Amino acid sequence: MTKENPRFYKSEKKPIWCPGCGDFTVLTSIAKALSQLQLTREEVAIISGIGCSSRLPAYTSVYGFHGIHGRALPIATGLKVARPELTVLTVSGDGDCFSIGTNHFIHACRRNVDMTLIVMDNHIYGMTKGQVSPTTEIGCDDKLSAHATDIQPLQPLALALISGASYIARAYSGEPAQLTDILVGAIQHPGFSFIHVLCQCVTYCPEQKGWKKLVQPFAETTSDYAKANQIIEQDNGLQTGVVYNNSRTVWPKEKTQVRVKSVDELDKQFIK
Amino acid sequence: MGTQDLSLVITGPGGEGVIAAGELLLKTAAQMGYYGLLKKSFGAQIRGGESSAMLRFSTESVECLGSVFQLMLVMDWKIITPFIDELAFNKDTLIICDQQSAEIPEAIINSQAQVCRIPLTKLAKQLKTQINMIGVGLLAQLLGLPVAQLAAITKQQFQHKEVALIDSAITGIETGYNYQLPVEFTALSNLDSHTKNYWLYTGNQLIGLGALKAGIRFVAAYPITPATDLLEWLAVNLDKVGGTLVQAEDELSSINMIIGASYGGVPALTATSGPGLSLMSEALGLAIASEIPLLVVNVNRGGPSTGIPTKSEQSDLNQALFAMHGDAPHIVTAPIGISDCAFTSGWSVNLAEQLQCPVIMLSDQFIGHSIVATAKPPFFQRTAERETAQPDDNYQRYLNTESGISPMAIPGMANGMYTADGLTHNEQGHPCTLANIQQQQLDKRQRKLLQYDYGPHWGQVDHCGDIKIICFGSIRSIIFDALTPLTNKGIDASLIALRLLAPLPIKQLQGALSAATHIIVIEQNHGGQLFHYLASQLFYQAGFSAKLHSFAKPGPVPFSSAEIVQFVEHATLLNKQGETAND
Repeated sequence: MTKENPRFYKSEKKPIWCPGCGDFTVLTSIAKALSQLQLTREEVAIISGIGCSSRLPAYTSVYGFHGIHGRALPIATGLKVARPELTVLTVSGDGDCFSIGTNHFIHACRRNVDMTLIVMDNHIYGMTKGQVSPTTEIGCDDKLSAHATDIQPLQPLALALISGASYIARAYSGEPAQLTDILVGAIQHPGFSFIHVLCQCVTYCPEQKGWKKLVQPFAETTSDYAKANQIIEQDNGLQTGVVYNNSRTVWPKEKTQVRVKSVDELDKQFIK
Repeated sequence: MGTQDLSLVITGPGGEGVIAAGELLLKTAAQMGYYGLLKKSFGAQIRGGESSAMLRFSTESVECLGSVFQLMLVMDWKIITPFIDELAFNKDTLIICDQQSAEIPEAIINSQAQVCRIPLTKLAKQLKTQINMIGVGLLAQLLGLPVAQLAAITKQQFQHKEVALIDSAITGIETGYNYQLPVEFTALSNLDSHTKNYWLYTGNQLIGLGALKAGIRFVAAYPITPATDLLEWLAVNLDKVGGTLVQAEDELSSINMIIGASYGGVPALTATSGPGLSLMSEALGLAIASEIPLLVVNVNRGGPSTGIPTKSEQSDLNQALFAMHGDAPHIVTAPIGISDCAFTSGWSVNLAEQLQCPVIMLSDQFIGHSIVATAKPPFFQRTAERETAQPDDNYQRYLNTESGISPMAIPGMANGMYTADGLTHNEQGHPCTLANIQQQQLDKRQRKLLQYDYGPHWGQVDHCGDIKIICFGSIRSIIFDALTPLTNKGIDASLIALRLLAPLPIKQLQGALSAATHIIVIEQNHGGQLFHYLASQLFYQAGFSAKLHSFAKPGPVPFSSAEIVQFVEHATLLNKQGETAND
């Protein structure tokens, strides 16, 4: 088998992202991870919702679905459960996954279908030009308020852990090699894997360029829930790496089998 | 010679086994050769609300109740008195009630119905049995049903219960059956015992069966009355045929899950009711834009909002037709009645798959929850086939074909990789905001639905006559029952029931309505939704000189054929006298 290089997994379409956007790194890292795993392009599907980051599927050369705001995970779940042999990735943003789609995030963690979620978190609504998101820090300018935001940001890793995710990681768009490694591990992980990517928005949050100097690796990767809880509790939101990697029963347990000779056998229950 | 068509009702507090009692009578009568219907009616409470089993037995296939109950069994007046106006009784009705029950309501006394008070509670206590089972015995005695068969059916129906409970049920039935009733009642005629098997099903079950036969192998579900038992039936039976059901976290999720499964090439459905359909409408727009086949079964309950969850209405027509944002052509179907459910669900799956678009099938609580004992129902004899692509390097997912149907690549197919998109896209599927592309793709999605040959399945026309009645769904059988009495009054009416509501079969309707003097649209909702839809699509056209009448009434009480006779008579008589009907 000839080795497919990462470029093979990208399409010819030019991304709509601003120059310097962290989403470019995620695209490249996904292509690199698929290349490392030498996955057949037609056996991979990338599902997304709405937002800057959700434009990603069209920039790859695998199957894609650019759905509606917040609902990428249900589409991915339906596809993976119906077609378990496919490799299914979901790409989302902080608005898409932690605001309009939070319910699906919680239940995807809980259900533990064998697929990977990558959330490109820039702490802002980029596509609608800079409103605060659920992960915006207190004190940031709020376009839908006369004042700066004064609401506590949501903690995605903590939410993932208590909801039952079995692989939890954080990466940073300025560290593509680490992101590629985490992606390879996430795709190989049996069950639901969640990668929180600090993904800089150079247009609305130029200060995020400073993340480069602030990110630190997690002290360790653990398979112990209590330990993971402790690490995540003390997390400043800028630590990267795989923090939790645990094996848990994947859902659904097994591929369904046809147990009747013909669907007409179902008639019997109605005939008296 | 006995009675050949009889309706009766058993009422009592929820949880007292009213429905189970009705099922026993239905099965026993069916074994005697009778067609039968059991309409369940209950409050939203799990226990203690008003609960009724309304039954009809006939020598002909029946899918609605008769206009009047000849028999009523009342366990407790207290529960039923507030709802007494919703039950049809008159001086010929025989009412059996518990001696210990609350006072007989005035409406019953005024009707001069014959009331027979039996010490039901006392007997049940003495003999350690249940009131509902004594009631079953009493009714079996009056109906002339064979007690041995009734006992055998009871044992079978309760086979998973404790032996002591089954014994006490049989005691109850025998007590009722042998009770010396001080009344006369004409029993059901003895039919030539026909040993042929009969089918027993609900509309909800039959929709599921038809869908599985047509190829549905993925279901995402969120529980909602009155669609839940359809989903529960599918959960068990989908598993047998190798399919999967996922219980979603909400309806937003269930509709998107089936979009994902269908994008993956697996025919998929979800079932819901009014409020759930509202939550799904954004994703239905996505399925239309990205051309994903899917079936949404909407089992209509009383609305709007939480409304009357346990009772029937036809008020979701507007949202099934118009809820989507943008220009969103899709298909809306409705079963012609309970026994048509499998045919229509199978046809709907086929339409969705062939036309790569969502189909909303409008059923209702009456169809969904009623049990019928009848002959084998019709099925749509084809497994759905989607036109899939054989992609090459130049594959275009949304190719602007003449038919409007673009061969679909399925994940796993080499060279077919594309991104399905809710953004306006060109033939390749690339997002595009050009005016000519928007026009091209909107035209294509509309064209594929309008050019398709729906064949004879668009609807059903019964009887001839220049008075035309148009309807859809469960009320067809009630209107059908009104046709003979109308003929007897010299009014020849033809009944058109629509199986295809969108796209509206304009040409077929124009044919069916030619030479009409009166067009009467009957529907169970408050606003006359079907009437207004037909007015905007059809009646406004030149050449329609018929007088138009709308008979719209909200739930939860079903129409009676008697009131339909009255309405049609009144509407058409006024015209004969040269007055203007102003309905």
